[in-house]
This record gives sequence, structure tokens and C-alpha cells, in this order.
Amino acid sequence: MKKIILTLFCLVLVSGFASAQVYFRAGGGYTLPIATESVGEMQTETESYDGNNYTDTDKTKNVSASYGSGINFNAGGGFMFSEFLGVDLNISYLIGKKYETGNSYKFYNNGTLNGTDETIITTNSKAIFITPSFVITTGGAHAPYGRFGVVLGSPSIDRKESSYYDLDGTGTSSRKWEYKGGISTGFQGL
Amino acid sequence: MNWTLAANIKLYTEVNFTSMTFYAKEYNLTESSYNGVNNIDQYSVSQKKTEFVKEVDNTTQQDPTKPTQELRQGTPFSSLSLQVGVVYSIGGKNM
Repeated sequence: MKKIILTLFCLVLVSGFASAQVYFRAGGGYTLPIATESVGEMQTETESYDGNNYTDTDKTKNVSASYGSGINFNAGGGFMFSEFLGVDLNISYLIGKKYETGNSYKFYNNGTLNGTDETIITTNSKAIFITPSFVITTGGAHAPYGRFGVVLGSPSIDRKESSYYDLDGTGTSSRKWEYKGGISTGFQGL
Repeated sequence: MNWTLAANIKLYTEVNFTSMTFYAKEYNLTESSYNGVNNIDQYSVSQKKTEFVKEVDNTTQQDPTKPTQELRQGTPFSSLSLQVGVVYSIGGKNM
């Protein structure tokens, strides 16, 4: 069975080698988050006083994220051994989508904002990915093609925490962290 | 899919699926301020730097001059991307 597959593979390569082609490409796009996980929550509380009564709304929502989402730019090239089979190397840079978690309390007195106590944590990624892959196509000028390969990534995640308080005196604080190091691996297909 | 623009130039459109998890090696506090005043020098090394490891020894006390150690954890990085760009090809038949 292995010999048959190998023979067929060689035939495809040899028969199409006359149509070998080198290509270069550059582009960009937007990546949507999938297989997300919870990265925290956002609590928003608003309290209002109209001179007689207090009303309070307090909401908490889960924040799910995949830090692979955002805007990306890519460049690469490839070599088609035949009309049907080739190899490709792609390098892309990701500017990750921002996710906000934390808590916010605002107090309104007769419709006017009278005080705030909030801590907002913003996280977003940036990454460089290198993707070596195989290209398979059915042939022809507008034929659909597929690229299948591994993704080697060097990501980092920035986390910024900003706090503001002016209910009784004013205070602000800001801290910034960076998660980094390590090579991430995954797979890609289309 | 490729769309012909000129003899050797095409527009490509792709839908890409990437499955990935990011395991950071470390976590560093890089900036800190209170009421606009930089206060990062007030933090010890253990407060500024965390290393992610596979196993943590809980029997030893944290040394403030050394990074904190925490268990390694995965961060989701999977995506579905929509790509558009230009391909320039040399030789052979069209891809």
C-alpha cells in the first residue's frame, strides 16, 4: 500500500514538474477568535440618587477570548512542484484584539456624575508566526487550494491595569505587565 | 481562491484556521505608577517577575530577590482568519 501511494505521489510530481512555479505573496486580514476561554469578567455598577430615592444597576458579564484574534499582515512565498502540489512558507504579524475586564462603579446625583471607582484591565497580544505548509490544489486558474502545515509562533501578551477613584479624594494608578517567552506551536489549514 | 489581475499577478482570498495555545515562560511588571508618580522601584523582584514552570515547590518560602514561580498555564490563541492579498508568480501554470 505504501509503495502504491509513494508511486502515485512520484508520478504526480514528475508529470507536473514542467509546470513548476515560484510565487510570492503579501496581504493581510482579520482573524476571528475561536475556541475561546474565559479570561475574566467585567462588572459595571451604576448608582443614581434623584433627591428622594437611590436606584442601583449592577451587571457582570463574562469575557471570553482567544488572543490569536486581531489584524494581521503576512508575506511569503512558495514553490509549486506541479499544477497540484507545492510547498509554502508564510510569515505573519498579528496586532491582537483588545479585551477588557475589571469593575466600574459610577455614582450619579440628580443626573450628574458625582464619583467613580473603577479598575479596568486591558489585555492584547502581538505575535509573529512562521507557517511552513503543503499546498494542494485541483489545478486551473481559479481552482480552490488548501494549505496545511504547522504554525510556529512567538507571541506576547500585554496586560494594562488602570485604576481611577474620585469618590472621596482622587487617586489614579497604572500598572503594565508583559507575558512573554516560549515558542507556541499549532497547526493551520484552510 | 485566486483571481487574475494581470498575467502574473493575482488577487488571493483565503479562509484560514489556526489551532494554537500559548504557554508563556514569564510574566514581568514593566511599568507602575500611583497618582502619576513612577513607583516600580518599590516592588521586589518576586513582585515584578513571575516564571511559569511545570512544578512548584510549596515547601520553600518565597525569596523576594528571586522571581515567583507559578504553574504553567495555556492561553487560547486559536483563530479563523479572512485574508486578502496579491500573488506574483514566475513560470509554470497558474496555481
